[in-house]
Amino acid sequence: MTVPLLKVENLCVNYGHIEATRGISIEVGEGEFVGVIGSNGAGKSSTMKAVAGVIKPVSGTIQFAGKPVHGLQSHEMVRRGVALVPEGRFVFADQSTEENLILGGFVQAERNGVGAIREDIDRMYQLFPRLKERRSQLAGSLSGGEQQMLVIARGLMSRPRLLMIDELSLGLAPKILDFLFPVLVELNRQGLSILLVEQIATRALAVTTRAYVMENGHVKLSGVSSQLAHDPAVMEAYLGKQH
Amino acid sequence: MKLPLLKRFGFPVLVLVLGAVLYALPHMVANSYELRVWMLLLIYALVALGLNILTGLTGLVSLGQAGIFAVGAYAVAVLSTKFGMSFFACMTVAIVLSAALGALLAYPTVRVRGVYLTVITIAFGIIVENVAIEWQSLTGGTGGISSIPNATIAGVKLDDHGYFYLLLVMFLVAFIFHYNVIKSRYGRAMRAVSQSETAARTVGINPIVIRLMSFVIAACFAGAAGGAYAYLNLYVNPDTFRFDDSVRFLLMVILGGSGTIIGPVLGAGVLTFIPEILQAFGAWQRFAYGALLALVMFGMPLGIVGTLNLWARRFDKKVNRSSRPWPCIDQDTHALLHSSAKAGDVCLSTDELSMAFGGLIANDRISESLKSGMVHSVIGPNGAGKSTFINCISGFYRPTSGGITFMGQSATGKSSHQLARMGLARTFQNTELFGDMTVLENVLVGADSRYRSGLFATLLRLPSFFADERRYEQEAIRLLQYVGLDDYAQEKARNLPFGHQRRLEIARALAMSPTLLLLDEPAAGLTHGEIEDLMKLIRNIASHQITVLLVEHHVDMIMAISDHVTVLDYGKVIASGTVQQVRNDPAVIEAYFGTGGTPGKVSNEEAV
Repeated sequence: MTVPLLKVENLCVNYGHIEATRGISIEVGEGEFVGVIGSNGAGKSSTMKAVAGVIKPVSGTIQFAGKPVHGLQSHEMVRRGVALVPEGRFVFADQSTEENLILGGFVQAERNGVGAIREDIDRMYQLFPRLKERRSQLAGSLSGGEQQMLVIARGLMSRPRLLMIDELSLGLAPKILDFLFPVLVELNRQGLSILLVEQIATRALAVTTRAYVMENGHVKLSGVSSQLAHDPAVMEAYLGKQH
Repeated sequence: MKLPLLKRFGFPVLVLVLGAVLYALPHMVANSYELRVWMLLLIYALVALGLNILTGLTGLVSLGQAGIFAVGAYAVAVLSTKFGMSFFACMTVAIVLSAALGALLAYPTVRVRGVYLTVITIAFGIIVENVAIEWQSLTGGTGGISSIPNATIAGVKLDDHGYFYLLLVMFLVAFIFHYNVIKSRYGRAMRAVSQSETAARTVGINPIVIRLMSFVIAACFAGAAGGAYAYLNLYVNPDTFRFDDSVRFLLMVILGGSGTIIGPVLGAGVLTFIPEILQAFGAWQRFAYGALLALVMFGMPLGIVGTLNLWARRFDKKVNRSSRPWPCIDQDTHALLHSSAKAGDVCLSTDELSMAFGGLIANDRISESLKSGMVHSVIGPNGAGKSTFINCISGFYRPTSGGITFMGQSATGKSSHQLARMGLARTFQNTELFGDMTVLENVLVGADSRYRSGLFATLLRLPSFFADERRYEQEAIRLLQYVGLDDYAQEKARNLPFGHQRRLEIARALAMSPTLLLLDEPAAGLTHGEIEDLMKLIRNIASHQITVLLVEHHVDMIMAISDHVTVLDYGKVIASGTVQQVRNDPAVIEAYFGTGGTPGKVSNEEAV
């Protein structure tokens, strides 16, 4: 097997006294769409934050494109090709939609000049036409759904090899999700690797190819998404009885 | 087991040790100059302790404390020399006058915060200094006021040793008051206001009152210190009360560890003695002073005591905390959740409520009424005006037009903390917790408006203080058990996983003993299993006659637990009625449900 794009081994993260992850190992292959499901406190967000360099793991290794990257800071991880869409969104509220996108392209602008950013922004507007309508509006005044689109687009502006999304559905109406999930599938089809943490397990397992089920800081189960969707243990805890 | 012991007896032991060491001090020092330095230390520590309450707890940075210190000193100088007033009379006037100036300084916080507020405190210091120089008939101008009589108590004129012991008593009383404020509902409220003013308002804390209180306490301490300084020096002139001195007072707090109990005292000690020690550097004394300060702050960014605390915590055992099954409902739950409302009464109603932001009409003539003990849901697409509606009825926005009635009283135009005190509790979409306070403290802040013991009882630790603390701490722990978070009680709130933070926010809201609970997307970020637990929790809350207003996107949940559903689109009510009525409304399906999920598939099991 070739070297996976992302390989996390035995990751341990603490917050204060709390052990958030206790030896988590996951992989994302080049071009894969991988999901992570699990209850609150399972360690999903902590894993993502550690990979993105937002928090420093206590122990364990993280390899990206075959190179060890644990301990690197988040701005360094963006340069290596990892973009995180954080839980609860974080737009630069007092800047316009377009300014937020330009900031997302900071690394690209350094490498390829400001002209390259223009093309990327237009691509984002094609992907999310609503953002084009809102281009000059302050990001803080956008609705929840629009902000989520903006944060995804801002992440894409760094031309990542791996896009990590923490809680896509948080606070979003069903109609917006009907729009957002197919966009992710399309991005993945174009070659982008995606790691998705999502509480609506039905949706997560429907779009991803492989998934991990986390519990209590461990990986409890992993496998092909369509099979996990029929696993009795998963159905009981995460999918609800009606399925 | 060592922690509760330390918690219980740590402070009394600290006071005793500190008192004993200082008591023996006059017999240990080499000469009267050294004793004088120690007396200065006690006086500066007094200022630093007060400033710690303002800066370390409430988060307001004052660079004008020397101005208040000056007012205290001049009050004593003028009253004792010109009117021959006694020590106690002079000190009382000094403290009262300083408190009044503290209140004056607090006034700008109504509209000015952060560095802008600090600029105002600097301006205050400059004004006081200038008045001291120019109002010559009162202050003696640059020459100052000399021949202040020694402090006399009960007819005995105090010598150096006597005055040292007087200062020691003042210092110990201040140190105990300082501790009693920090470890009380006032200390918690101060930290709450500095960490999230929004959240503090939602539990009924008026931030203006808290900031006023902090300024006044800090001013009382500084004024008393100023008065004590006049009696030590027996001479005051404007040189001792400059901007430099204000900076030094602030440095004492920050260097020692702002917000800590012993930090300001340690900071005052270091900054009083270091210049003495550094005299060996001769002309380079100030260089050495600056370099030392920079090095210490770089190595210990939270101040000496704050950083030592942090280092000590590294050795704490790491634990695997977990949520307990929730909601934990037992025979005691009824005592925990009580509402005086009668089922079926109107809890809250809006009358043609409208809210416009510039040209955008976010809420358009909404007239809805919430019945007591019901679960009333508001749904609609993102941007439909749900959050605006919640913010209007909870007092965060002032509606452009229309009225709100809550529990039979007009609530139109009431501010959020007033509404909270009337019984309206709420949570936030992205959670608003006091992140640097523990989980237990967050819930205790929720109960703040129900405490009966006031500042007086708190400072003197009267029985009513202990009764309140015991009662609400027990209740807070039971509320944490109710939402399954008791294992996390001593962790900082910001270390909790997002979904747990939501539950903590609900526990904090319930600690207010509300009649109406507004939940803004409580299910966001929860798994299916957790949502089922949340539904049980919400049903149980409503069964105790606490009305629940729910804004949520989780369709199955809304359909399963709502007694009434209001659907908003573009700021207007497009449907309002029972689940059955709303579910089949074509306008609702078109605007909200989209193609993905029609809400018909609610199983019987779930609807129970």
